[in-house]
Amino acid sequence: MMPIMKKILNRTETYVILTALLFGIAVEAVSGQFFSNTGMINLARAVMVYLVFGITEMLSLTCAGPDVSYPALASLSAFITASWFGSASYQGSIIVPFLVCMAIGALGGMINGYIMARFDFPSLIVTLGTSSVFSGIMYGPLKASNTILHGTMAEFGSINMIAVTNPENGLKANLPAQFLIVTVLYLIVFFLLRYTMFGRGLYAIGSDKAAAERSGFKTGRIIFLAYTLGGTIAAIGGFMYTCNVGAISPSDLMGGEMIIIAACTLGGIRPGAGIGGLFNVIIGVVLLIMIQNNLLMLGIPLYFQDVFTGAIILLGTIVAINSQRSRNGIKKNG
Amino acid sequence: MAEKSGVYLKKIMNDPIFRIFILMSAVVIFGALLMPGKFLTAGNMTSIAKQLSEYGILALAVFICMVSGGIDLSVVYIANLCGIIIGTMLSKTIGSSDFAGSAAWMIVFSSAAVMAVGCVCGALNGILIGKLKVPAMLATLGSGQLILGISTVITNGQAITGVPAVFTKLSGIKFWILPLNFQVFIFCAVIMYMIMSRTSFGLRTLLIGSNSKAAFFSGINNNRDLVKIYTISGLLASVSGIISTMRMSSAKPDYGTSYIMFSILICVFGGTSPNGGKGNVPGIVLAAIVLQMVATLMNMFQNLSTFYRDIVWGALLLIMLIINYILDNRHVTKR
Repeated sequence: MMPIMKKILNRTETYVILTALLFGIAVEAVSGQFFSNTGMINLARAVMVYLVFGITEMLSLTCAGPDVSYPALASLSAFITASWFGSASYQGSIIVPFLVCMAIGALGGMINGYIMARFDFPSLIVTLGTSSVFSGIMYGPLKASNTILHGTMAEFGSINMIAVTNPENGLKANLPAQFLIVTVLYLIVFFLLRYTMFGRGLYAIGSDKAAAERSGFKTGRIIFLAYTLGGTIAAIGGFMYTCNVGAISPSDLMGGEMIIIAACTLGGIRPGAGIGGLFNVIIGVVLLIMIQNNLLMLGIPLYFQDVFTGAIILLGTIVAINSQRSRNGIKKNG
Repeated sequence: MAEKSGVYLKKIMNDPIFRIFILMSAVVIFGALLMPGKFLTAGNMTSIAKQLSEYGILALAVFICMVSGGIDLSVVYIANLCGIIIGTMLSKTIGSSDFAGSAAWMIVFSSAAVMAVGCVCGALNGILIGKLKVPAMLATLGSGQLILGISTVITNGQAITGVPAVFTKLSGIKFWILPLNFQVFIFCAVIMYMIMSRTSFGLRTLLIGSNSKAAFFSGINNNRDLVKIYTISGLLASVSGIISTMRMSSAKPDYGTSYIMFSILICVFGGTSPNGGKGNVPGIVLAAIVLQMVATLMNMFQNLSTFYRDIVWGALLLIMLIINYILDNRHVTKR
C-alpha cells in the first residue's frame, strides 16, 4: 500500500489535478456555477481548441523543444481554406475544406520538420523564423483581414452535440460536435505514441538523440514526421477555431503559443527530455484555461490576469522541475 | 607563398565579421544604385542609426544569454516596463516645465532607478535559471509574461504619453551624424566587447555556453555567473527601454513584441551560435546596421506592405542559421 501512495505522491500529475480541484472548489464556493452541468460543458468548450494545439506542442516538446510557429501556421492554413471555401457559394461537403486545411498545415509542418531534422538547431529559433514567414505570407501577399464565414464551414461550426440547461438558473450551454474531432485526434495520437516505432522513437530521441540514433532509430525521419504531424494537427485546430467563431480572424490565435507551452510544462512535460504524454497535455491545458477563465469570478481584476498567469507559470515550472530533479537524484550544479 | 595567401584568404572568409562586412558593402552599393540620392544621404544614415539602437541593445542583451547557452525572451517586456516607469516618473515630476537643473537631475535619477529595475528583473531570470534550474526558455517566457502583467497593471493597459519634451529632445543631440541613441548603443557595445574579450567573466560565459558541465568541473561557479549574465541582460534591456521612450515619447506594455525575433535574428546574423559558446560583439553591431539598412531600403518602396518584412526576416534567420552551420562545419572538418 505504502509504495503505491509514495508513487502517487511523487508524480507531478497528482499535484496538478489537486490544484485544479482546489481551484474548482474555490470557484464553486464563490459563484456556485462551476460543478454544474453548464459549468462543465463550458469548460469542455473552452479547452477544445487548446487541447488540439496541445498535441502539436507536445510532439515538438518531447523530441526537440518548443514550437512557437503553430499559431501562425494554424491561422495561415485556416485563412487560406476559409477564403476558398468560406463563402455562401460553396455548399459541398465539409470534408474537402477540412482535407485542404490539413494539407496546408502538413506542408508548413514539413518546412519546420525538414530544418529540424537536417540541422541541429534549437527548435525555438527555427520555429520563430518560420512563424514570422507564415504570418508574413498571411498578412503580406494574401492580405488577410476579418471576414464573416458563410456556407458549409459556418454551418459545420454551429452543429452542437450536447445541449444542457441548468435547472437552477436556466442558463444554457452547448458542446459543439467538433469535440468529436478532438477525441478522435487524441485516440489516434495515443495509438501512434504507444504502439508504433515512430512514437517510441520520439521519446527515445527526446531522452538521448545520439543513443536513439545508435540503437537504430531513423532520427531524422522521426523528427520530420513529428513536425509534419504537428503542423497537420495545428491546421485542424485552426480550422475548428475558424468554424466555431464563424469568422476569419487571423490575429486571434497569435501569441497563444505562450499559453500552450506553459500548459504543457505545468502538466508535466519536460522540454526536449522525452518526458510527458497526452495525459499531461490534458491536465495542463484544463488547469491553465480553467484558471484563466475564472479569475474574474474570484474577483481578480482583468489587468491583473497577466501577472497571475505569469506567476502561476513560473511557480508551476519551478515546482515541477525541482520535484523531478530530486526524484531522479540529479545533483545540484550539474 | 601563394599557398600561404590562400590559407590567409580562407581564414578571412571563415571570419563571420568579414562576411557581414562584405554583405554590408553590398547593401550600401545596392541601396545607392536602387534609390540614388535617397539612400546614401546623411539624413537617412542618421535615421538608420537612430532606429537600430533600440533593438541593437536588445540584441546585445539576448547575445550574452545566447553565448552562455540560454536565451532571454523577456528582454522586450523588461524594456517596456522600464520605458513605462521612466515615462511615468518624468511626467509626474517634471511635467511640461522647461529645461532646468532640477529636470536634468531628475532624468539622471530616474534613469538610474529604471536601470536598477532592469537589473532586478534580470537577476530574477538569473536566479530562476541558475539556482532553480528552470530551462532558460521557459523561465524567461514566464517572467516575460509576469513583467508584461506588471506593466499592464501600472498603465491599466494604456500607452504612456505626455513624456516631458526635455527628455525627448535629448535624442536630438548629435555627434557628427550620429544621434545620442546610437552613441549609447556603441557605448554599450564597447563595454560588452571589453567584458567578453578582456575579462575572465567573459571567458567563463563562453565556457558555460560551450559545455556547462565541463565549466562546472573546471571550478566555475555556474550559478553565480548565470545570475550575473542575466542581470547584465536585464540592465541592457532597461537601457533600451529608456532610449525607446526617448525616441517615441511614449511607452506601452506590449510594444514591439516582434523585436524578440528581430534581436535573435541580429544575434544569429552576427555569428552567434544558438547552441551557445560562440559569438562576438562586433558581429552584433554590424548585423544590426546591415539589417536596419535593409529595412530602410524596403521601406523606400512605397507599395511594399510592412508584412513582407516579416517574411524576409524569418527567411533570413533560417538561411543565416543554415549558412553559418555549413560554413562552421566545413571549417571543423578542414581543420
